[in-house]
Amino acid sequence: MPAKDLFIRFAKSMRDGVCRCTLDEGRILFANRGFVNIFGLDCPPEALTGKLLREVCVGLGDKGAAGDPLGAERGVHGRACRLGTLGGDERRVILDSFVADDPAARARVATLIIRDITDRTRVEEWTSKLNRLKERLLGTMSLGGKLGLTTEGAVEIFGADFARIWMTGPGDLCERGCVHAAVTRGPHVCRDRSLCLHLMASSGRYPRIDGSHRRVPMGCYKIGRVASGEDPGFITDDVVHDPHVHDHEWARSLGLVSFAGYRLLSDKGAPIGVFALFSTRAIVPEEATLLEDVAHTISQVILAGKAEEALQASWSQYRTTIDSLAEAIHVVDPDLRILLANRAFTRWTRKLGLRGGMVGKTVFEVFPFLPESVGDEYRRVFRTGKMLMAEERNVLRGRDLITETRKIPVIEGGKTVRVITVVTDITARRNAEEAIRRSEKKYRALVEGAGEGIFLADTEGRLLEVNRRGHELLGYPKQALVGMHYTRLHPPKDRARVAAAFREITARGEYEAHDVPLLRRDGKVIPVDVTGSVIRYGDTTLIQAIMRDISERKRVEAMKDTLIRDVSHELKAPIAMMEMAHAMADVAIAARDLEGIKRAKEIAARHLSVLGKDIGNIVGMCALSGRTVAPKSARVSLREIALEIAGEMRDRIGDRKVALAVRIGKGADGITADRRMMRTLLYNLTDNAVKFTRRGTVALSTSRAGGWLTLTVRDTGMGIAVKDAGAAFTRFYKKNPAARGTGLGLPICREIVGLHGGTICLDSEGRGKGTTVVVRLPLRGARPRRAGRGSAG
Amino acid sequence: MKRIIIIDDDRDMQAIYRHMLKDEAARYSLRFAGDAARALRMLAREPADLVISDVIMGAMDGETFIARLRERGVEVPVLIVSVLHPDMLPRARGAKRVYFMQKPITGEGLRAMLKRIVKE
Repeated sequence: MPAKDLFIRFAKSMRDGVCRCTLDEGRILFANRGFVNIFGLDCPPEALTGKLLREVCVGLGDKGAAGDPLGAERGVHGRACRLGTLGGDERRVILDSFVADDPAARARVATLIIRDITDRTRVEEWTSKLNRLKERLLGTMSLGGKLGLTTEGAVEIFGADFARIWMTGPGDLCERGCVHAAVTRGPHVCRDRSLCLHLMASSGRYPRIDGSHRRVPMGCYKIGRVASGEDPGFITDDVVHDPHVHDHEWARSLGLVSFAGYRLLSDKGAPIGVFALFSTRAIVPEEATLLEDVAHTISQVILAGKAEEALQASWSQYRTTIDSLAEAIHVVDPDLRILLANRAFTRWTRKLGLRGGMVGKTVFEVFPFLPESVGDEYRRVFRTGKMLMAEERNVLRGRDLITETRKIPVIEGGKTVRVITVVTDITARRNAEEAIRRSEKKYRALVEGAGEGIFLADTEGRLLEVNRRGHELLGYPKQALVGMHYTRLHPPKDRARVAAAFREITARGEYEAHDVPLLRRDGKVIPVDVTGSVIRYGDTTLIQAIMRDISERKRVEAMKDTLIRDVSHELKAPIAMMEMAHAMADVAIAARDLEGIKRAKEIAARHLSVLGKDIGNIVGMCALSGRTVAPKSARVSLREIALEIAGEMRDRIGDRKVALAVRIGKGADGITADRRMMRTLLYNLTDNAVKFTRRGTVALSTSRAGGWLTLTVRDTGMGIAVKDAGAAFTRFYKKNPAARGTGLGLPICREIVGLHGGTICLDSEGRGKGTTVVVRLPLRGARPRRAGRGSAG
Repeated sequence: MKRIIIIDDDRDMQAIYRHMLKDEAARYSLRFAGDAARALRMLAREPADLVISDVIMGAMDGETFIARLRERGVEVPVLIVSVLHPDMLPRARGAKRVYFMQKPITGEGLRAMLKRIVKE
């Protein structure tokens, strides 16, 4: 095969443009398909044979002369140059040529090999421009600004007709003029108002973002379908016919050729928007790749922008929240400089009299009175990242300032970068607490020292607090009653009644009951008066019961009743006896019954004497205790008085086998005293002894020693329990209520002895073992105490 | 013949009872007890148709005596003779078959009362 044919076969197989032409006029001898393609010619390569090179392309640059085929007189190697097509396009090419004589053509012939690098160069330019755009997008700018920059860049870099970015968000114009909201038929019905595409940026032919496409429903039109994922990454180079484009007429009128739409996605693959671009030329594959990259960049910009917006919003929210808090808050950096102070904090510092701005100053500049320990605390929080709570007491302008401070670390990237300090002025609270503590102490002392039992129970009836007296009343050791149920304070048979009373206290708020039985720990029952009330503070309701022991009062009342009964009995009985004796005498007189008359007279006389004695006792007691009598001093023989009384007692002894012995020697009885009183003393003591002795002896004796006379009245009668011996000297006391007498005998004796400056004591070895009363009186020169009382033992 | 036990620690009052009832010897036989304990012992030995008792006495008073009596199931009628008004003797008032006379009493009154009680 000739070399020429080999060349042609080789050239035809090459993708680069190959052309042989004459060197002088540039007449084309051969061109391959690659050549035709580079210059966008609409003819087979063979059709170029015979044509001049200048009829096919335009030489650009310094060596653009058509006659000189691309200035390749001596051949060029790898020369980059620009060529223009007939259509006006510019092609960037790498040119290799060599020149040789062609004997067949009888001319010098240039062989040109043209590598079209237009697209490669364009992609490189696009890439470089895109990189610059990306750099700009890294700067500080609002999200809207960045998106606008992106669409502008897309139009400029890719020579697009217009470019737009939509972002997903909830429908916001549905009720305010959104054209899509009204659509109810066809493929473009807005189905999810919570997810809508908002036009955020638009550049090129349509720079406005408030047109009819400002909102696009998800899934509607080509934009909505790209966003929803039905047509992700949709590219067409035939918008005038593509069924996805709904307005072909519009596209045609604008001369639009291609459309590229990219779905913008979050890191998790959720749709966050659409990037779309219309162009009046076809989109080359390299361009599509770059546009995809742009879409990815936009996604990142949106995500970063949204995060920043969220951060801004949360900061603003944080600021608003901090400002709205009643607690005084400030934020400090590691240098203890105040970065932020909320309104409450500013107000509080003003109240303290601190003026001027705080932000930027250190806490020690703002609060010069703070101790260095506060700085240590801050440093500890920054070091440990743990919250610290402290109470500080300072003096500001001579006044106590008590604050409670919480230092809360703000940790970023594992490091404490700021500390939020919450300051609460607790001066008033602490002062109030102090006052409460003082009053509580007072209350405690009051409650503990109260003479009444104070019981505090919860509404279930569980005892929470019982004072000292309460424990004493019930015979329990201190605190032993706490936790017990109140019903256990009462005998079992009374518990239902007490429970009803408790319910009444709870319902009515107050309650009073008299003579309520309390069950002591030792099983003894004591009567109390109860005042119940409800105490409320805050959410707490407590039941308080105050219990007063009325045992003594009841005893006195019972004694009073008995006294009235006894005294009236003692006074009425002898009168009744005298009346009956009188009637008896009448009957005896009528019957001339002398013995009866005598007997009646004796009865009357005896009871007249008893009556006289009783009245004397009562009047005497009144006089003695009212101190209206003074003892008269005279020489008195106790023996004489004793014998006299012994005579009187015989009738009282009657048929009982009681021997009354007066063992008082003649020389041992003299005393200076009031005779009548001495008689009353001896009579009462003897009378008592006789009364309580059914059989045996009653003996009166005296002795003298050291200026004192001791009178002893000893009987072998029923005796008295040791514990009752002291009570025997209490007025109106009667061990046996049914016994005769007023219960004034011994009390009168004590008064008399007291008036004479002596002592009296009663001794018994117990019931059934007799009683001994010992009276000691000064013999002579005694100075009776006018108002004195004998000490009783 | 109705058997009557009279409890009174006052010998004078015993004398007055004797005098008031001296003409009723055919109708009533009288026994005297100086205190309530003795009367209880007497009643334990032989029953009586009626007991006359004072209230205020030595070791055991009249009201306690009635209570002891009833505790032992002795339902003998008791006539309380006292200067105290029956209102002041609530325990005795609450007991069954107890009658009251307030001192001073008359022979006529006593006899009429005894007749009435015995008849009942």
